[in-house]
Amino acid sequence: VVRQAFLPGFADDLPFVLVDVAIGGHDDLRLIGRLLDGPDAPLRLGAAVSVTFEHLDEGVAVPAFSLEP
Amino acid sequence: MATFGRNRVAIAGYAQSPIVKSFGRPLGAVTVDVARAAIADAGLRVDQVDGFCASALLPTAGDHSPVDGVSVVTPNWLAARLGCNPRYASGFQGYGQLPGSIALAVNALVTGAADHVLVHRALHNPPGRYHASGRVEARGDAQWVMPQGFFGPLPMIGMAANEYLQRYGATREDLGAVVVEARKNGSRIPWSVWHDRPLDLDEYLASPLIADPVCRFDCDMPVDGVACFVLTTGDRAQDLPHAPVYVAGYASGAPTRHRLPLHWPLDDIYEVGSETARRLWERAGVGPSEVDLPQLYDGFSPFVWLWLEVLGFCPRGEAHRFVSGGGIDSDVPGGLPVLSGGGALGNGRMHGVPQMVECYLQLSGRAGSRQRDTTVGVACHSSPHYGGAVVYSAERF
Repeated sequence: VVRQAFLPGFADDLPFVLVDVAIGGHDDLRLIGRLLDGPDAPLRLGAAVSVTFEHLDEGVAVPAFSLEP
Repeated sequence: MATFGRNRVAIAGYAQSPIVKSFGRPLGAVTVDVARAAIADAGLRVDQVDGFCASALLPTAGDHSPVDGVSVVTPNWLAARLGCNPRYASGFQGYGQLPGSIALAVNALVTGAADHVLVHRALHNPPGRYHASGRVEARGDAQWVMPQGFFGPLPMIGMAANEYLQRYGATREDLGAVVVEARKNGSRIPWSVWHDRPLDLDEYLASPLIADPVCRFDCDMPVDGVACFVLTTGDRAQDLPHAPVYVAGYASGAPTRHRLPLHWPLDDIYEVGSETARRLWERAGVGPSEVDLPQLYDGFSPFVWLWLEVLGFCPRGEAHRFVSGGGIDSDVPGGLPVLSGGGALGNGRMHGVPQMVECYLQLSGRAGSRQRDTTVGVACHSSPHYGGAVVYSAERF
């Protein structure tokens, strides 16, 4: 959970959650992204997530994740 | 050859500035003063120093432009300002800057490239927020992490620490135990930025989180500070005023797996850190059971657990229990004096200097009222997988 922003443009998003995701379970294929379920999500090591996108601007989408139910 | 350089080089003297929020003077001016003091402490003249080794990194993610002699000090800058004509000057580029610089100095002395080497580390606390950046564009590897808000060392260590806590059942109280020990010892050190300012666990727990589970007190305080050490061959050191402290061996980490910038999964730290430790013990010819002064790196508090485990002082996943059970309490008999020198958390962001200073002072018998009866020390810097460590000894073996 990130509670202090070191880059411009993130202050309004605080606090936000970052997750380290092994894509398809491959340990060497990792992506860090935001988890869109909020800072109080019941997140544990090994939790399954699905990929989604944050649309930041016209033509700009950033991959993000949400917890699998 | 694994034994290259073992115990053939010694620290002959040192000097250190006070560690403060700001010198109010250019970093280079202070470094020249400290270098002269260190050379005099070693019983030498400036013109006898013919080697300079250091790293000049300004260790922040923020938008600070390093200026040699003002906010950083390179070996060549220092040599020129001291009026020396060095036969050998070299800068270390990797992580674990102080162990890396010591390695360069040992190699230069053993090969005869230099006779007396000055190793310095000069740290600057630039004005403004230390790690903050105004960058609005990300190129190269950064494009895969900056748009997500993964930037700078706080999320880096927060993620690794969180992985440790969840995997091994550690708590914020366990992290706090590391910090309280560091600040207790740092509060007794006159040159520390935290002198007379210990921290108790309640104060620690009341501090707001920055990148869970890491709070401000888990991070070393950016400071202005300079330390210089004079190294020479063990044979020459016999004729100098202070008891020599020998470099038994050194090692650096890496290569690590290719990852996203500042992505430090716990298993990378363990896997490559274990190799750092293997190299270190092989080179030094000793193991953890022979070390009675392990000065572990604590620029972020979780590093203490990780170094305890990769160096073999604790089984993997057990260091948090060891620390919280009083295992590194340097005031009790049998406690492993891991942070007796205050470390980075108890001195300020001196990047491996407190660990090396404590090894030097204790093993040379110059620690004054803090003197302990120790024989073999380890000074670590940075993360076990990227950083490095040096084994120091009071005796040649």
